[in-house]
Amino acid sequence: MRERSLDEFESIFEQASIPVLNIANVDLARVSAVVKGDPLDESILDLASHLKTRFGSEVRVYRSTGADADTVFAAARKRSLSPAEEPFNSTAELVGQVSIERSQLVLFPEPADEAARTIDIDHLVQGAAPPVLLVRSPVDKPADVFGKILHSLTGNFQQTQNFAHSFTLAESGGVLLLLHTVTSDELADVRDALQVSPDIADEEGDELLESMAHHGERFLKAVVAASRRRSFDVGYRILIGDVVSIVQQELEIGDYGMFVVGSHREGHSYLGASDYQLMHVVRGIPVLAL
Amino acid sequence: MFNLPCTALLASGDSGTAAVPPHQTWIFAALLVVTLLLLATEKIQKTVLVLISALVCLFLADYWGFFPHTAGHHLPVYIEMIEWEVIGIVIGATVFVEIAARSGIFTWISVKMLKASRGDPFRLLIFLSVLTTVFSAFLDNITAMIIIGSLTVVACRKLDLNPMPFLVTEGIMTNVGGLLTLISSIPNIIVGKAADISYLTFLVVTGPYTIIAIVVSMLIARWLFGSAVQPLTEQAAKAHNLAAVTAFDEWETVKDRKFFRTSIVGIILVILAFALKPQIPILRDFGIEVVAMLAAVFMLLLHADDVEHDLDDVEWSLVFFFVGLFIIIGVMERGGVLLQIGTLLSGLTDKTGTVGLMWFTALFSSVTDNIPLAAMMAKIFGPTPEAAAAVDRAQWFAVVFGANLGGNITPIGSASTVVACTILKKHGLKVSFLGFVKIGAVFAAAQLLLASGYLLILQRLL
Repeated sequence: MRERSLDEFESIFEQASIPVLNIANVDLARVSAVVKGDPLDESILDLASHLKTRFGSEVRVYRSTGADADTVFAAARKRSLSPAEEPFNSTAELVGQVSIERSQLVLFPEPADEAARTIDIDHLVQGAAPPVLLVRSPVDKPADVFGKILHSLTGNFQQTQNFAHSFTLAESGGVLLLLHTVTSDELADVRDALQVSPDIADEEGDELLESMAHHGERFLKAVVAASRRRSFDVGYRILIGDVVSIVQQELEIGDYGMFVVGSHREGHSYLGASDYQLMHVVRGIPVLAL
Repeated sequence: MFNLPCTALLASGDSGTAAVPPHQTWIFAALLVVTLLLLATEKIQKTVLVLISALVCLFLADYWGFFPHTAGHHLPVYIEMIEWEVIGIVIGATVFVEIAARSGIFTWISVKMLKASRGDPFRLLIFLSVLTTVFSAFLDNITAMIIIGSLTVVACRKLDLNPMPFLVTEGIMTNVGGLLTLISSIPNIIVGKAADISYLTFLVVTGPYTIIAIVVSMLIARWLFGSAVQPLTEQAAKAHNLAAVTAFDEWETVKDRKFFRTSIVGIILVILAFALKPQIPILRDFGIEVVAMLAAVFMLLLHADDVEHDLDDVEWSLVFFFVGLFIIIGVMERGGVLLQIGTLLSGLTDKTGTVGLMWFTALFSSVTDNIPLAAMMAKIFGPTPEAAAAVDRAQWFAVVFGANLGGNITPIGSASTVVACTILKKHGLKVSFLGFVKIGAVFAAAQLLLASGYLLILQRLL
């Protein structure tokens, strides 16, 4: 013990302490729900109602010209949601209305037609200021959507504010997994961002990835613990390889309720090539495009 | 009337003391005083100093014919002087504690306690101080202070707190914790061995005092350090501090969880073995040093892949310090010096009794090492087991209380307060000798006053 000097113990305790990431909760005071007169409308409104209950959000329901106004008004009022008076004719109009309302999240039913789907989604995600939750199949229990979330992450772990939506939306008792896919060249930057200790920095291969995952998980768990408002299990995994196939593999085995992709900076969505591809190929569950 | 029956025994020569010419006694006494003074100044490494002094004592004693040279098989007299039981306890307990500490159990508990404090300064002071007290009951005081002191510095940095009140209080509380069990401090081991006090009896006698002393010390700390340890009232500050301590992960201090778990089982078994030794067949026939050695072997078995390294951690300098010290005391006994000290002590404490003995021991301990003092007292009070048994138990505990608590008066009074001051200095927060005394003396005075009343009650009960 004598040789284990004061410096050594200070270093042990320094390493045991990590800076708490500043991941503020997203303000979901205003949510936009889009209905288009198709079978997914009910799911959209149920999700909107669930968010209203959880976050006290003011939900504005936008209807396309194809949706019957009376049906929409009745369904919205039943859930104490506020329907917009005028319908929108195009995605561009919807983007404008959502921006004027200063919504923080848009719930959008995916069009059945494949061609329309690509065009509508691309316009909406790239044009709208808030992130868009794309609903692609009927939702039985809205809480299940936020009960188990898979968040795809690329880059160097420094854009931590992008985790804010996932952290905010995760249900109490739920699970959030951040799946971080990197290239070998990016590994060093991520290692620095995670502040791994020098002895771990000497590790290589799977051992290094495991250590980095352990550190990443500590950062994220500390955020949850520090908030003390809700408790959910947060995991972090880092892998080297092709992001699309890694995510698809995980979704096959993971039974997730929602998939999160992209990044959101300065009020706009930024989707890389692989993010864009994922946004379109992930089909079975709602996709939140940041 | 102060009861010191052993003085007569020392004078009679039955304990090995022959009639010694006064000038020889005075020369040995001078040697003892010089050794103690040099120990207090710390100018020479203490083990080297004690070994040199022991050799000088031996040569002089041999020159003056103190040691009989008889034919036949027998141990050299200077080997017989050494209390091997005490050395066995020190070696066994050190190996046990070093390996247990390597499992990360103590750092794990420390971080848990830090988090339980929620970052509130007063709660933090209480939690870390209580933890220091408990740790120093099972670890040696220096190790306990290094672990808690290091955490204190890191935690205070994260919480924007001045670490001084925390470190000084912890340094002082290690000495209170040193009272808790028979093996918590070296003076306890020496006195316990001489007075034949069992582990459980020791715990039952000192335990209640330790709890009361913790409560009183915390109230004093709150009063002395004022706003520096004030409980938080603002919600924003509470949230900030809570987030800062929540960011600590106790598992980061544990390298091997399997070893961690087996160590917990090992520690519990060893504590039970110490406590229940008189009831355990076979083990009850041996001394407590055998339990300590068993504990060491048990932990070596759990950590068998690094035995050489584990054994390197034995405090060999302390072991050799004891070898030298016991030889010095053995020679002093034969040279009549202990008889003179016993007579002097008898006169000094005639009117003050057991409480006076405790204060004398405490004052002596505040300026020099409490181990030689305890060793001398043990030899003066109990030159033979019969003489030791005749001494009032409360007097033995007076020595224990005085030797442990006296170290709180000055920054050099105990190893843990020295460590506390070293940590402060390392972080640019110097505490002057007088500055420490102003704080330490308040704590020590309260603790000693409390111990005085406690001893008076013990006198009636024991």
